[in-house]
Amino acid sequence: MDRRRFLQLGTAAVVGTAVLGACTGDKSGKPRPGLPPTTTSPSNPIGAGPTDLTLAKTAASLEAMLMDAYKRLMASRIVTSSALLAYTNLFFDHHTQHLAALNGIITTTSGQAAVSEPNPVMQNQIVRPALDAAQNQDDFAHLFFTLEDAIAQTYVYASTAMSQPELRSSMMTIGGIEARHRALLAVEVEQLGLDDLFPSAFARADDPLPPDALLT
Amino acid sequence: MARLEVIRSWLQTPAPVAFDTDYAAFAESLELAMVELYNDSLLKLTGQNVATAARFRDHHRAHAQAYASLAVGKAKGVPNNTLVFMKTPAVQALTDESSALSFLVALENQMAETYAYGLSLLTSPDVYRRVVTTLPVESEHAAVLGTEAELDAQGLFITGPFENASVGDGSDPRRGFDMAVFPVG
Repeated sequence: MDRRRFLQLGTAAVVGTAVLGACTGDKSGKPRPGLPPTTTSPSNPIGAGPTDLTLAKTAASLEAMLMDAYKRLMASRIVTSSALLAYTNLFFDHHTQHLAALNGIITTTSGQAAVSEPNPVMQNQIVRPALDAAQNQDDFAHLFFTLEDAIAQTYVYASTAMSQPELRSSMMTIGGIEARHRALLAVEVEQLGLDDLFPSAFARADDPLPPDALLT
Repeated sequence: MARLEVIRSWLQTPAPVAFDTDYAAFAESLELAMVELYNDSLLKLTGQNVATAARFRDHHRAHAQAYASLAVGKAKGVPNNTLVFMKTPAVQALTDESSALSFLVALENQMAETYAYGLSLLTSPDVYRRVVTTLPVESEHAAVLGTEAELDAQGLFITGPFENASVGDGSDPRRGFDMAVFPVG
């Protein structure tokens, strides 16, 4: 099954149903030096696309979601894979810093508060049930690969839709790292072959999220 | 109706600005240099690593073709001479498979950094969208080859939790390739 379709169809196809506790997103919101402010102008000149702010907030909520999910993974005693355990702390730290950087962008817009909660649609419809349903290490491995795959593609989608060059660059300084997460989990945990990891010479740029996952 | 939408979309897409077509030609030349450097490095690899490197080389060839099509006649169809000239001594000095893999990881990192910086300058949708879809593939190449080279976390994420959006003269693996230092041709 196409992993991205999994995200749009729901959880049952992958791991079934189950729990995730309260979100513990980073509330510090410290901006990364040099990141440009966002803009509230439409990213699509025709006016049909999401705004830069919407895309940044959505990405931030996905970072918070992954932080929460990795915390759950750390707390679980099911996973024994040395590769997955080794990456868990590192990737959690990366996602924490990504969230802080995105909040640095978001809060430059007047009246915008930092994002600290996981994306509600993804969390409630997909991640929480999937974590609850995960029975073994393979379930966890597949879920985390799928989530990293989705967030990496989200950055590609968002970067092609954003209106400002500096924002596109900033988003892809994160998106490239998410792609590395995806590749490392694919090779070392999921044992995927190159055909699965690289279906094309280019990354996909369509929106991998459920239609209502964008934060406005 | 669908055909009308395509035509409307085409009419609304602005022509790429001169800098962006220059950039596309620059990107083509870098990608072709990568093809050449991969071919030279393949001789040091064995087993599955040969197939992996050949796959990645083919990706770079596909990237080069895509950038050439965006360069509006500015693409030269030849590897970036400066990059090849700069890196050839390093290729010749590769002593074993591990050093070859690490060399390719460093190149892939620099390509990702080059594109991260380029995105801060590009304004033509066709060009920046192509760069956005190329960058993560270069990052993934670095990650996959890094695992084969048995790099630790520091080596797999040489610039930490963010790709570096900066360029230089090619000597620092944490900075990409500057257009001014690596002219097309």
